[in-house]
Amino acid sequence: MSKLKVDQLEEVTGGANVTVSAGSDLIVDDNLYVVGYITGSGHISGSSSSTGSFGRVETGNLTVGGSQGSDGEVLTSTGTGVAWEAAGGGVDGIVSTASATAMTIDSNNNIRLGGAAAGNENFSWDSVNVLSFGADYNWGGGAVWAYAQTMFDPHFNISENVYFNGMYDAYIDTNYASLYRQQQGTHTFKVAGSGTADNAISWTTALEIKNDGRGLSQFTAKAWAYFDGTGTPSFHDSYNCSTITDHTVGTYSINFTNNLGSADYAAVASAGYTQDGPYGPAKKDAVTNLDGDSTAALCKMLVNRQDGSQSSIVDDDNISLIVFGD
Amino acid sequence: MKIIYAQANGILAQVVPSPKFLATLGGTEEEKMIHIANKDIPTGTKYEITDADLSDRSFRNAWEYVAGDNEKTSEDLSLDDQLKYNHITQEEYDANAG
Repeated sequence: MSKLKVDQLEEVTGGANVTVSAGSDLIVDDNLYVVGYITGSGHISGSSSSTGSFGRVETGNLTVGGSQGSDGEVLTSTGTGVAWEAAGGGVDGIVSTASATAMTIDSNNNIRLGGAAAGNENFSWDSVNVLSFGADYNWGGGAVWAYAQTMFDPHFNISENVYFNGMYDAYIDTNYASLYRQQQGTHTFKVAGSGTADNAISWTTALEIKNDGRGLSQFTAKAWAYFDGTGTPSFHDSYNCSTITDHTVGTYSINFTNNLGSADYAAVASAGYTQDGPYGPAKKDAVTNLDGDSTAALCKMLVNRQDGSQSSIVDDDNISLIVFGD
Repeated sequence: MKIIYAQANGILAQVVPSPKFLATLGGTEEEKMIHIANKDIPTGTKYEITDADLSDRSFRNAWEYVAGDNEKTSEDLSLDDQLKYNHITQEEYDANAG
């Protein structure tokens, strides 16, 4: 095998070539300066291997370390060499024409749409993951966030003018606040009067929908029943009612499945009966809350039949009851 | 099935469950009725569970409760059930739970 030592080559003038025959090597002990191009169908290698251990570009894909990639593959280091892998990352489909910061992902893995947070509304606590909207309160302080901390029940929230400061819910700005929370299978809608920025929020629960389907608020019925008080009393249908107690003729108690918060509630009942009687039109009325008979656990009622000046307590088969209260 | 017991005035009361509530309970039919008795009649009341036909309401205001062989006494619900049925507050539960 013949070799050409470059330090013996003084100058190759224009138009001339340095030719290394097949089976021979050009060995450069120091640096090789190329002013023009390296062209041809051979390769540059660091060994005598026919494939080379550096890189080469053929008419197809790039080859590095003897390994040729396929269309679309990317080159990665394996620690002991290189490998070609399919391009990953899932970034296709994200197109941005923003002229300023449009999305920030902070060190707590929280995401803000609309630029960096202007104040505490960035929810920067490890126990909270948040997607918030707008760089400042001019956007309303809207956020979607989840809370998880050992020893406490996790919950998911959608809120306005609220941030969690690590201890409690606080106002972002001096204004009203509202929040919708899902926790342990319940839905809770909370509202708060106007408060000072960064102060704790004192919530009022406007509506709670329990996991058993009950809707608790001042504007939803706490219980209702439609029942037959004749024969063996029985429910036609009911809500939050566990049993009927048949006390005597025409006197019943509806026992609530879940007690009300107070015995001071409004109960309205009716009996579906009217007809012409011997003393004129006769009808039945259902009466509730007699002399404090009702409690937070039950509503007691009686059915009265009025026929002219005659009245008596009687059974009825179409008795309705609706209860509103705490 | 139903529960019967004597009211303070001596007249028999009968307690009939709603099908919806009954469907939420576990255990045998008798276990469900015992749970209902503990929930809906005053604690310490002697009662019986019966499937006797009481649909004829003749002389209803004169019905009397007579103890049978299977008389039971209503008891307090567990703390968990008292909380579940809103008989006690969370604070009362926390104060009494061991």
